[in-house]
Amino acid sequence: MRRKRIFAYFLIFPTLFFLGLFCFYPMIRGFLYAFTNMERTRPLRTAFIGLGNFKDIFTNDKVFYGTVSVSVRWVITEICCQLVFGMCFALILNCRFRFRGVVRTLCFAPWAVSGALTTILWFLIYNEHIGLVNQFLSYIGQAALRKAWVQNITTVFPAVALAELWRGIPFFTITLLGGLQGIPVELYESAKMDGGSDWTNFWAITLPFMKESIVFAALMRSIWEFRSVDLIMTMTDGGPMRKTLTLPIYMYQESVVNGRIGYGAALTIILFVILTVFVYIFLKANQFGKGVND
Amino acid sequence: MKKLLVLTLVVFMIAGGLFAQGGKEAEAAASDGKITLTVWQDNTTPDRQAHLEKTVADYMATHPNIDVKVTSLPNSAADKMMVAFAANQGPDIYFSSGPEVSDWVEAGYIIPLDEYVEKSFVKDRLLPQSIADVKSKDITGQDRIWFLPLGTAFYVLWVRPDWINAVGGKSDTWDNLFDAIPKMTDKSKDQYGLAIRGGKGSVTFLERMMYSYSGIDSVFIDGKCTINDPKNVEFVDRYSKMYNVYTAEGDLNYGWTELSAAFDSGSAGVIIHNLGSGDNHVKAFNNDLTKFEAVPLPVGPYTGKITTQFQQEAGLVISKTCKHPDEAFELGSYLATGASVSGFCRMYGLVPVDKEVLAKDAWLKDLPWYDMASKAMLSDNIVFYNYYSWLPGKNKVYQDLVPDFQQVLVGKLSAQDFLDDWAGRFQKLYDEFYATKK
Amino acid sequence: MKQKTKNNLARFFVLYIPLFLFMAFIVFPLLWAMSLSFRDGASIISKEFRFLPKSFMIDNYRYVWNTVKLSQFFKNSLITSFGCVFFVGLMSLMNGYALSRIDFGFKRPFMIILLMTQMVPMVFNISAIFILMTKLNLNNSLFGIILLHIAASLPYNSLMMKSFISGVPREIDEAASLDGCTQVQTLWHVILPAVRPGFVTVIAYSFITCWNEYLVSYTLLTDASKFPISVGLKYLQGEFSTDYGALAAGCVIALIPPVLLFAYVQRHLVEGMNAGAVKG
Repeated sequence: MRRKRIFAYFLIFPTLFFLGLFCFYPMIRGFLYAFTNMERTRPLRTAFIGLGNFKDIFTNDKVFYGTVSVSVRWVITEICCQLVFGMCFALILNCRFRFRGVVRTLCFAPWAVSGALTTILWFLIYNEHIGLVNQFLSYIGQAALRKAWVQNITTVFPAVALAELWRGIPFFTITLLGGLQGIPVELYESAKMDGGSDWTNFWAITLPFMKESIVFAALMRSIWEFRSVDLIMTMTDGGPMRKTLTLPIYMYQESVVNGRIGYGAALTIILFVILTVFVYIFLKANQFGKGVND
Repeated sequence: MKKLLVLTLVVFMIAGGLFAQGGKEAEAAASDGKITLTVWQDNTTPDRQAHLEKTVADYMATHPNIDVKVTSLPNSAADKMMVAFAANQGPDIYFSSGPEVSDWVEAGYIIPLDEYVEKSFVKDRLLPQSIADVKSKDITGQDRIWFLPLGTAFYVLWVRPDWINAVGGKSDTWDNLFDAIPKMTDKSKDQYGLAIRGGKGSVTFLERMMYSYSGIDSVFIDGKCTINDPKNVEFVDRYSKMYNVYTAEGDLNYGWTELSAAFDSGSAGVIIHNLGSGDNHVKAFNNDLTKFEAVPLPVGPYTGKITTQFQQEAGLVISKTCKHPDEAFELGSYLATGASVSGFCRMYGLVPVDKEVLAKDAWLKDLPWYDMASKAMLSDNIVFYNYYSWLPGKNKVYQDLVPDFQQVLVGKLSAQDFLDDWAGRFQKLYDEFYATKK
Repeated sequence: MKQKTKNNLARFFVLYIPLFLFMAFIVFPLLWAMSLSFRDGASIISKEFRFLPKSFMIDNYRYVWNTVKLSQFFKNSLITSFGCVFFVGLMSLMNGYALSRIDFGFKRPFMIILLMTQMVPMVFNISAIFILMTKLNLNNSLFGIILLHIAASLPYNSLMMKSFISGVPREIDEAASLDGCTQVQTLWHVILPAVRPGFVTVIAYSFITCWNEYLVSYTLLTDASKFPISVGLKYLQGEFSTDYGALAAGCVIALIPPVLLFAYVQRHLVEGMNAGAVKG
């Protein structure tokens, strides 16, 4: 047993080294800025101000709470949709049918597409004057339904959410597919002999086996969506009127665009804490860490 | 176990070997008597890159002891520059459409150039008002030259002359324009007289239009901010009331990409921008000059003069880490004058400030919008308002006010309240700055 | 007979229709991107409702490959992505195995560490990273970029491998050690084949993350000839205009390696475990 343990440490050592050097060291340095009032435009005025930034964020900042709420809405919407649809399509792709390989490869493509292409594609789909959606509506005589999809206050959130779903569903599909493949076929066969229908099989066999995969994928994707910036920022820059301003975009605007590095770092720490709490609750609720080997 | 140990060791050896390679390149240079200078350029497109590389090649041909390494960066490189300078890894020369001069001066990343300029031909080549402007932007208050100006941006309205003529309107004054816009709008055809930039960058452009209307010549007069002057309020009121009546709904969050798409696809009659987008419109309208035209910012009802910014933001800086500043300045002065700057301005949409280029180069006369711009800039009827470009913290105010301007557009915030808030913020920056100077 | 038609009908509704809708949703923007890549920039901005291009001009592709030197960026991306994938695959397998199969004291803290690194994107610490890389003499080197990508991908993929390996019954391990395998041999010859689907997912995921990564590469590399393709594509998005046709062509080109890679490995997403491993 001891040999095994030493082996374990041996296995994880390279990773710890890497992460320590390239992740933690910069992260901690960055965090230290949160306790200063460092601003890019006035670097010589940097001073240690303790919890001053945090106080400002929680009491003076009118924008902060709104961004948290938008972020939470975003994550819940995206993860629920991506998970449900991803699961459905993973099940479908798990079946045997012709051209399955081709379909799977195509399914992978949106995930593989670079952010630049995704942005211009959806720009050219949603644009009010030259976008495909509005052009199509005019073409079929429904010009009255034309809208500024990404600028209208009511449609902006669903429109951007849909664009992200296009990228996110394939991710879940492929990840869950990998998990589905690991379920032993005999279980289904013996269940069939016992007379179970597909529907009950799903709940009794598939889900329990997939539990760890699902929990894991949902968790990691939630974290990713919570801090994802690229799509929303290029499509709406957080607008209009901050309707799509998520916490990470706000952080980016403060630290990079406005140069308020200390303030931005404080927001980063808050983001980090929120995510930590979320992960903790999520894992506790799902009793992560236990294998499924029944 | 043993196998894994061996494998890991091998991997780390390879890693170590490659490790060493990264640093070697730095030592290779400067060992053969040649001086190496690094030049970076931002917002590069393939054309701009080709131009700079050719310019540098010509220079190296006449200066055989100098080796110039050019790095052309796509997109805006502000963050990259900040990170690089902070680690002392910046380039010797930075040739940019908008270097953050004030930040870098305060942080001590760049060197002052006035002594070099005094001794160089550059002094007589550049327009005197251009040099004076650079000196006035010195944040240390010592009237030093921290960058070599490359050209000025000239803000114009791109309009549809065919639409304006069809309704019998004119674009020379704001009143006339506000008259013509409703007549040019036809929602059923997806044609709107005006396209408002309500998204990213909206407030920066709004300020330019405001001052062209009100004719006020400075953002601060006698220490007090003029942003919320009643004439400015009047403009913002009239302008914002056009939203969604004579403009498309989407203008609320339009950035430049959407704005240009609207104009180039024939949905907008009037947009504000600079000369740089000329090439876009040429392509979009197939060089049909009856369909697009650049006019200077219209005259407001108060002063009868064109009021605009003398915006010299494109510049060339030399960093403190440069080991051969004399040679760097020589290269810099080459890049900032003559054929080099002529090509640069042509592509970046700037009006050159090199007197010889202004006098001689053909493209300035051939392209109608440049011709118009250079004539306007040298005319008597133009006033350049002081927009306090060097005041630290301005960018944050512009950024923060974008959602507030959107509220004005949808009618949830009055123009007066909006401008009062804006003026208050600017005033705070101004007071803070002068308090620390005492 | 009736049962068979009933099954076929059910299959049609439950399988083929949703599949068709799904594929339509996924594939449509991609087809449209391809159509854009064959068109000339000005026509894209116009208001004509057009899905198929008038004529298939490959000028965009030629332009992007030669003039914009996308070929060079393409090569750089291949180097960084394959380099990253190799190490990430190996190391995440090691970590996954340790986390799943061995009970050691540091296990929980290690998992927490892995999760924590995910919560702050590397971008926010870019300044500190740049200084670090400079000290290590790794700035402006593709190898440095590979290292950073590894650090970025490792946590997620390690945890992913952990859950895949957990899905493999322990009996297999025991059977293997009874057969006289050492730990390493078990890992390499028994576990790895069993988690092939998971391993494939890890490879796909880490490749994509490296391939599309933009900000870190842009900030750290000072030599334009070393830019990866994700940065190279930005040259086509100018200050005042975007060359949509060329950008679409460039993105289609950029899409090819990940898709090819996945097409190759996806056949390993095979059904069911090799049940024969446990029997007998």
